[in-house]
Amino acid sequence: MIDKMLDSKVAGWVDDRTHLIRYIRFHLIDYPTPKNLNYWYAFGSIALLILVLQIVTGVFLAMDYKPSAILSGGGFSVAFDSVERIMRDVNDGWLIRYMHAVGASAFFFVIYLHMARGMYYGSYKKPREFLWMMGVFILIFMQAIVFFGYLLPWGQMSFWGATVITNIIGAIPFVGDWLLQLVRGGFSVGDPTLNRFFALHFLFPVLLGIVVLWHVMALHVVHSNNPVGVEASEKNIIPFHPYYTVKDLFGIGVFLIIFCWFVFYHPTGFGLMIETDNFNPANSMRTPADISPVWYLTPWYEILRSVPNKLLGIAGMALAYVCLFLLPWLDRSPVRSARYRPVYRSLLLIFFVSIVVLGYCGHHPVTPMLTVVGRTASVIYFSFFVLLPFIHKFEKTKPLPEDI
Amino acid sequence: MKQTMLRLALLFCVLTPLGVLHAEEGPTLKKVNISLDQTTLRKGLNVFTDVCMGCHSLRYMTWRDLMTYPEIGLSRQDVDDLRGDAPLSARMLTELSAKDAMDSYGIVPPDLSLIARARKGHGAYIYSILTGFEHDPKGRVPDGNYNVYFPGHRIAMSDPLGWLDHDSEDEADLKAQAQDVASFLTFVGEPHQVERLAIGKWVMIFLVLMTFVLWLLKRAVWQDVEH
Amino acid sequence: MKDKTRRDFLYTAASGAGAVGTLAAVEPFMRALQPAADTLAASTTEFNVSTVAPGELKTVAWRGQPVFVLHRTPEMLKDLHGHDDLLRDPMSHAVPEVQAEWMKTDEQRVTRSIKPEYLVLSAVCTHLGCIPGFEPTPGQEAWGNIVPPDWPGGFHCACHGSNYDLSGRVFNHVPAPHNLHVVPYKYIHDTTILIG
Repeated sequence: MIDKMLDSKVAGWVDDRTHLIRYIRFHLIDYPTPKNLNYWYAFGSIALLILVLQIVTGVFLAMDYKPSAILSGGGFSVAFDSVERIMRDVNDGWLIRYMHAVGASAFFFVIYLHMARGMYYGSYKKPREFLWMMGVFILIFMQAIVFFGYLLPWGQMSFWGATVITNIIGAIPFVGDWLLQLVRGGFSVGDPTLNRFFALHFLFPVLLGIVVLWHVMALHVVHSNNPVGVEASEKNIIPFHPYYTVKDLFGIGVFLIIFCWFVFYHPTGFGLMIETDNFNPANSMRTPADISPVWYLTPWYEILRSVPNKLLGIAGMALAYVCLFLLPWLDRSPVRSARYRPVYRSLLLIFFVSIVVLGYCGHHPVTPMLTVVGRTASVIYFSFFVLLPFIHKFEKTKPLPEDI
Repeated sequence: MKQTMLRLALLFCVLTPLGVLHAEEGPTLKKVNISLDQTTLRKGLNVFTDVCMGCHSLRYMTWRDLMTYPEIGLSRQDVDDLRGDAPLSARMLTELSAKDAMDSYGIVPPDLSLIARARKGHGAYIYSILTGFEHDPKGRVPDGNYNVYFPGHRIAMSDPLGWLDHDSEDEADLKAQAQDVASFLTFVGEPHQVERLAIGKWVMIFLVLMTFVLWLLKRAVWQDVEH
Repeated sequence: MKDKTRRDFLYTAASGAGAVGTLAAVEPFMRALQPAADTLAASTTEFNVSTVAPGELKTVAWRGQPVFVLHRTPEMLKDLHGHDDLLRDPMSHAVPEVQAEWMKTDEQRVTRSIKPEYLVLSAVCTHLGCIPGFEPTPGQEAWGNIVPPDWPGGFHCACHGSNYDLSGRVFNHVPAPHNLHVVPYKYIHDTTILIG
């Protein structure tokens, strides 16, 4: 049916004038793919779906949201009121808001798995270094977007989260104070901050969409890696459609089941996706007892917290991102897939565990025990990148097959 | 080396769920059965308007909402009796002014629209607070202000249901009142939750069926590919 | 061959499920664009007509738009007769919006109100939505030549020069196509109307 549509006269008329149809053919239909891609490769498509979902739900929320910290009575603000109006009075507004909130968590969950897959099968290696770096950039970009977005409900966690995180900027030597006021538009997080964060939370996802399209186009230049990590021969290449369209659609089906289960049965994600304290309106005179970022930011936050020096903590967090950027050059082994690299595989799994542990620590209030654990995990995180350039010297890789 | 690290990783995985690592939580809350049926919600509404509303408001509920949300579904006459002179579209606000509250209690009582969502333990927290008034074992906090479940144990709200030193024959009634109002406030915190669960059931059924068809399709399409 | 039929069937089934799912997902978004519950709740207005003095016009907000409540004196009511030749639709028949189910007698079609003395009409000019001015005294003396020489008193819309009489009935040769619309209202007490 799709073939018929793309071969039709109307399609031909459009294609003669815009090349639209041949782009569709190139990127969605004929795109040559190795036939051994497993379900880990579905996370790219799923992430794309979530991006669309976030933009659509976000635009609809923006129609009823009001970015104003001006008090409306009883300690509540216009922004907080407008979110509750969406939850109560706007038809199905609660559904759209929950989709957006759960969608943010789902986006990060899927992106982390997408990146883990890339690391496991060595998809960051030549010729896909740039693809990987774009991916890390997309992650950081997403974290900025979600940081802006989290301020908007103007609840306690919104306010104090933004206060703490913007204070990080203030620690930068020489320009810190200047930069801090530039970001906040005032001497503390307030109405001007809320207004500009709303503007940026609207603009940045559009830019993110462009970067993501570029990421996909770049992928289609260097083509997909595969679990074996060697180039596939001609006979093992199949077109994207129908094979991976149906496979990804099944993956999307499974994802939607989990996603909707959260949206309809646990929309606050057990206090992880919409935090309990954020149902209290922002109060600049009182900090909540237990303040931590949302779960998908906690690993980075914990690295920051592990270092007992403000500036060095920030440097540590920045370094954590830099290491990810440099991954293609830190790893010097010619073998891609961890399937054939026993040492890399063990280190990588420990690295993944260290991120989970960091995330866990970052989510809980500091205790002496937790500090020790968090620091250990931070050390493990960086050790991975320190060891990486030397592994290939002693690692005995398993024999690689000729073909997939 | 590798073995040691793997063991370390495993240790984290075991310790984490045991809760050894993080800070101690407050006292365990009492269990409560939250039910969103009309009878309970109406009883809870009565407790709220008779007792709580002396000091607390429901900013995000209007009097009209008591008619329009089918979960409560009061008649116009019932609402007219409750609201007095207030317009139908007015928020359900207490008559206690912020200034009077400051003078009497030293604090403005929090709005209760979102209290069930904004406190850890949700409905159980409300129930526990209402039935958590005791004599301070150390005798520092005056009677009526000592509450086992309130952080720091000193609460400005003085025993609204008269739980402290209640007669044993009243216990069941007081518990029922606390449970009803906890249920009512749980509903008020998210008035579309019944609808959400009702829709969710059909969404899940549909998605499982659709995914099953997609799985069959995927298998059929991939049949002729060796892999 | 059998495999192909089965596959085609599964394609159709999957497409069908996808179409149903997409439509179901679009529905809440379309609903979200419709007026919200608080907007709908504000769509009725109560008004006590006894607060309007004889000959006075008051403007009441209903759904964010003005509604005229005019307390017509016996002279004003008498003046409604005798200028039918100036009007485009003297008996309010043209479109449903200018009529109401309680307009049963010819007299009610002229006075266009439940209680003849209290005229309740949408204050929105049926041309392009301006608010006409209230110019009750007959003749050009008070209003100059913006109203016709045989002006019986009524409403004049300054935007594009449309004229209506004191029952909101539109004049001939003006841009407005119809009489001022009748808004839905009823008396809930002797002197209190509920609009909407």
